[in-house]
Parts: sequence; structure tokens; C-alpha cells
Amino acid sequence: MKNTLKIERARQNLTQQDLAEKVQVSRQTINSIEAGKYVPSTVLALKISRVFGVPVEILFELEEGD
Amino acid sequence: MKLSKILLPSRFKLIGWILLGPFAVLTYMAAFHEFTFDWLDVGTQSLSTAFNFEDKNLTNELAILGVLVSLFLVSFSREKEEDEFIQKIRLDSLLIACYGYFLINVLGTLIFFGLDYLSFIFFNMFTIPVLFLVRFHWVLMKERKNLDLAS
Repeated sequence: MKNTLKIERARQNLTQQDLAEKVQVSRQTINSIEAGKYVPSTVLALKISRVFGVPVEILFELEEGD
Repeated sequence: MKLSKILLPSRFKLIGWILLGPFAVLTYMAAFHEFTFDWLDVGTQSLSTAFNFEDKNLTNELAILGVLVSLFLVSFSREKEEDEFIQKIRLDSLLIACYGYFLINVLGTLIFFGLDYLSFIFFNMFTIPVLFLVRFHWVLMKERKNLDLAS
């Protein structure tokens, strides 16, 4: 699964720590999601999309093979 | 994601680490150097007599219980920032520890016989928590290193 978290975060001028605090996870979790190493739960994906104010499909996109 | 509620509060982790060292040393001393505490001597009325065991001292029992309890506290206390990603690492690590346990059991059964096999079974009691802790903390450390590089 691809994600545009890093781009969206830069656009909204948020650090990984800011985002982590807003969705109540550790910075490691945000870092791993951005690196494509961890696929977040639906709840966390929805929370992140709410922070950015964009639909979840903008942030996360299925890849071939998913 | 709902986080597991069956983990202990994170302060137990520190208690576990503090207890683990002394009890590990005590277990080693009791197992290999026949170290005993006199105050843990049990009289002839004990259960051990009923089973006709030579062992009339509870030092090794205390040591093993201490190691098991401290490993339990260290393994199953929350991290300070426990979230779904940490819980995934936790579950993966438990699975890997179980794989390791089965593999070591098979190898041990092929390699050790007689009394050596009993010693092997004794130490194999600690395989799952030890493998779990090594893998879990190794991954956490790697993640923290990645974080330092990213920042």
C-alpha cells in the first residue's frame, strides 16, 4: 500500500512528532507508516485523515499485489 | 485499533529488570555451584522427603520462581508509548520466540540424553521469554535508530 503521508505532512507543516501526538501514537509508528513498513489499522488511518482534513483514499492507495 | 488490556502497567517493567539480574545470578549459582541459603533449609517433614528427593533446601526453587516472575514482568508490561505498531512488534516477537522454542526442543531432543537432557529441559523453560525479549528489544532499538536517522 502506498501512502502520501509525508507529502501531506509537509504541506500542512506538521512534524512526525506533531502528527503522532494528534493521533496518540508514538513517533516510531508514524515513521514506519511513512516508510511503508507498517500498514495502520483502519481506526488510525481514519484518525490521520481527520487530522489532515482529507479523505482516507488521498492518503492511502492500494498497490498491485495488495 | 483496540490495544490489548491484558498487559501490565509499564512501571512493572522496571521492577522486572531490577529483579532479573540478582535472580539470574542466584539461579546460576544454585544450578552450577550448589549455592544455598541456610534459612531456606526445610526439615524432614517437607514434601520433598515424601518424594524421596535429596534436595532439602528451597534456594533453587526461589531462584527459578524469581527468574520466571521477573521475566514475566519484563515481557508483559506495557512500553511507555505502547501503540498498535509496538503491539504488532510484540506479537511478531512472541511468534518468533515460539518458533525458536520448538526448534530448540527438537534439536535438544536429538543432541542431549540422560541427565544432560534434564538440564536442557530446565534451561529450556526460559527460552520463550528470553527469545521474545531479545527479538522485541532488538526491533525496538532498530526502530529508534531509524528515527534518529530520520530526524
